[in-house]
Amino acid sequence: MNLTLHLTDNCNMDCSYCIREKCPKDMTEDVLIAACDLAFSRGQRAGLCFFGGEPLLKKDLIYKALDYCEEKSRKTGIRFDCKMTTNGSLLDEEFLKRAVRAKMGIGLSFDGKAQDICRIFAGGKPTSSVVEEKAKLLLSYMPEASALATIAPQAVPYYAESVKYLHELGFKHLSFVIAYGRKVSWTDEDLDALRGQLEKACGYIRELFIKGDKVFIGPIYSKISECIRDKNPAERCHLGVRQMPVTPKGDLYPCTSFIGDEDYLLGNVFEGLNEAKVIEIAKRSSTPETCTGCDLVKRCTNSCGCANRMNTGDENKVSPLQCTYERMLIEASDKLGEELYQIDPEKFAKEFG
Amino acid sequence: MKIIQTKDYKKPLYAIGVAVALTAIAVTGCGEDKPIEYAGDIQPMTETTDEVELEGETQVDYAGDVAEYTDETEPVNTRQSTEPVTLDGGVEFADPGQEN
Repeated sequence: MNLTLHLTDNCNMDCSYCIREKCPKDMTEDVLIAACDLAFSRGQRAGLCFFGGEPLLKKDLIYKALDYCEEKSRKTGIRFDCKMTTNGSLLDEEFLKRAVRAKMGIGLSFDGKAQDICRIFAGGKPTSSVVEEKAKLLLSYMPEASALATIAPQAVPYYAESVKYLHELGFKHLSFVIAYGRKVSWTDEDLDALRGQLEKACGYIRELFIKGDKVFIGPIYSKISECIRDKNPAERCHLGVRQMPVTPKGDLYPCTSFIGDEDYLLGNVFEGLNEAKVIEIAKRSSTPETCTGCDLVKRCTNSCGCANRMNTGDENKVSPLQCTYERMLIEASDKLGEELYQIDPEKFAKEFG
Repeated sequence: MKIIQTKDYKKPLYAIGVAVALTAIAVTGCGEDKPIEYAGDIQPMTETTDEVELEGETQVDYAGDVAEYTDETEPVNTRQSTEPVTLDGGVEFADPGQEN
């Protein structure tokens, strides 16, 4: 099974949209090993995503987890995969060499040209120059690393420029999500501006397609491919059964926005999963009432319990923000899909089919 | 911003065209050999992947504030509240009160 390990609640950055409360709470080695054992205990593959706070504040734990899990994988024959989401500021060559050996996927949280608007060091110093250098270092070891950008309202004017910047830096996998939760406040004007930026970003993607430059830019690419394959992003999140977070003290929750809410506690790495609770929570997950009659119900993320809860307090209720954004995204993605298909249907089918 | 239900939506031409082409390839057996895959599961990120996971098994995803950071396509299962829940890892738990 897959777990997200919150190795620490501490972080060396102070991002304006981050909803996690920072505190100097670290995972112990006992919790780490128990979590690793849990990941190997079910199914035919074990997956860990190292997270935090900032996971690179606990490199020692990451090294221990890698050594332990690789050995366990050899002994059991169970495949082990790992990823890490990091702000990148603490990446170094020693770590990257170990990560390459472990075949770790690294997602660098990097807001591109908007980096210094929302992502600053604790203490207030800008981070862009540091993170840009770390990005180059990362890509030198892992050309397939991903850049993960969060777009807050104040960063919207930089969206399209950031797509271009991150791509020109060398990233072939980009993911852009909008910031949700209590730390951000979106207006209609922000969303109108975002629509314009999405169109510009799609224009850039069209140029790349014509040039034959292969890059993945989520969620635009996702929307197109999901439409072709009839995949339903609304089914992506089935609370409690996909990739559970493990807190520093070993508690299990359905997803990050539920951490700390006792009603959603699914167990502990030492005591195991409360299976009845998992079933109860998973069964509660349903298409929001406001969405059941919508023609786009199978194309939007209306059943992402985490996003719903962040925006409305209820995992089964979407927010007007999410609905407006998803409709905008689907419209922009479909327009782009049609354009690319007309330009070169065969190439389009190969890239998106 | 409001919640607005979209009506009269039609599947875009690109999706129909490519889906037809993909079906034709599957039927005729033409096309490149695909790398071996794991039969698999969710997380509809649509980066083409050489791995497909077993039902209930997923490729581990990047953690983030909202579970959207993924770069692999994984088949999606529809779940209704009365069906058995498959826990990540391929183990299935049926509610004892439900029929299988």
